[in-house]
Amino acid sequence: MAESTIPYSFTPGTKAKASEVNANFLALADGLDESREYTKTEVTKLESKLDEKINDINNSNALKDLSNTNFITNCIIDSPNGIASYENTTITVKEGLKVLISDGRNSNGTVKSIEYTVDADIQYTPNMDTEKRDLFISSSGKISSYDIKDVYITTAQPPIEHTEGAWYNPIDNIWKVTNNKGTTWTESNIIKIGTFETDESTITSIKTESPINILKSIDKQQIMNWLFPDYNTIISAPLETVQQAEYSGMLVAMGGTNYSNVEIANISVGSSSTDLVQVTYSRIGGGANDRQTLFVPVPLGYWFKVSGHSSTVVAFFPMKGVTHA
Amino acid sequence: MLKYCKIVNLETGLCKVGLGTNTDFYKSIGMIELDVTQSEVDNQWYLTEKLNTPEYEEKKAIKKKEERIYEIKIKLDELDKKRIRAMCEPELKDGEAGETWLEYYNKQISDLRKELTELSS
Repeated sequence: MAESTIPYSFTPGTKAKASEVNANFLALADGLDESREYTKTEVTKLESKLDEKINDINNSNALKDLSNTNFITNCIIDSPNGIASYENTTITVKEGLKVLISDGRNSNGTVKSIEYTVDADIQYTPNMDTEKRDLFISSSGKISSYDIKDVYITTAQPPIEHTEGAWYNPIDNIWKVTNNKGTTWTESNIIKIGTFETDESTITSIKTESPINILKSIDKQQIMNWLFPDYNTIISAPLETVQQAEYSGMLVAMGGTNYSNVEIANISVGSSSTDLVQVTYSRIGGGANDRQTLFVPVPLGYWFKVSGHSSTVVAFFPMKGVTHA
Repeated sequence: MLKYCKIVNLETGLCKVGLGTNTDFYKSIGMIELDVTQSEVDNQWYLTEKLNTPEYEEKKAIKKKEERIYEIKIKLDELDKKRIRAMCEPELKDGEAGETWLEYYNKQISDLRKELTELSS
């Protein structure tokens, strides 16, 4: 911005001409206009920079945008209004449905995805010449469907002898479609979101895929709790009996003795009932009037046995992650 | 008492018992409410009907006797320590009756030994 100057200066004791005074005022008015324009331009620039920064933050925030994750793909990640419903001959894919559409792999082998969210309900009238069809949505919001006999999900090689169909290649992490009996397969950014049935004139049912649960960093306290015993679900466990853990949990043996030398509790654990390894040894010397408690974590499916004095009480505490407490 | 449980041994009536408050969890893992009792012999849980037997009552009596013998032995040990102190620091327990602490402890030991002999016979 140029500095503001006035064209005429007046000295004390001299008369000022009206035209010169007016010219000074006009110069000042021009300067004010210029200043206002300059301020407006600078504010606009600042707003633009702020918008740019906010976009950068949003795009790199995993909680807002999962397209930057390398761990999951080809899945539904949110469906606040459900996934899809049907009425007569029309399927409605619901607003808010959020999917991660497979998009190949990075050079290091990690998966690439396109995150797509349905902005508003999408109506779709399918071909009803087959009884059961898989429902797809593309990264541009286009709905399509294929006879379930023509949809292949886990093969690394292209299926053959199908007039039209869709094929997910897990090696390349990409869906491909054909409409010329498999002569050519074209990469397509689509994802299967459900399967519907028809009586060849109307839709009779729809079964949608399930959204996956994504753990977020704010869930860490809950996750930590899963690894702690649930004291409301304690189960007694018989002594001197080989048992299999039906849940991951903590085995606790509490015992005491009197005058004799007594082995209070020996806990053995193993992956098979015939191959147990003793993991604790607890013995109280003669004359001692004492009590002891032992704790041993036991994973789901492992076998355990507690041997010891008849005063020993054995209990099993399933972990909270098992009991969903 | 009624508790959610699973029978481990049909012959003995040995059970796994839900001891917590989350009855929904116990139901979800197939436990059902049954009348069970924690054995006074081995602290395990059994169907109550399996404990209403003369054999169980006999085992319980033996266990009680063993526990009483154990208690007596503990008390005798404690009294022995007190008698040593009473010999080293002789004092009258009751001035009027002229009974010393040592005599007082000896009398208690005598009673306990008599009971111990009866229990051990």
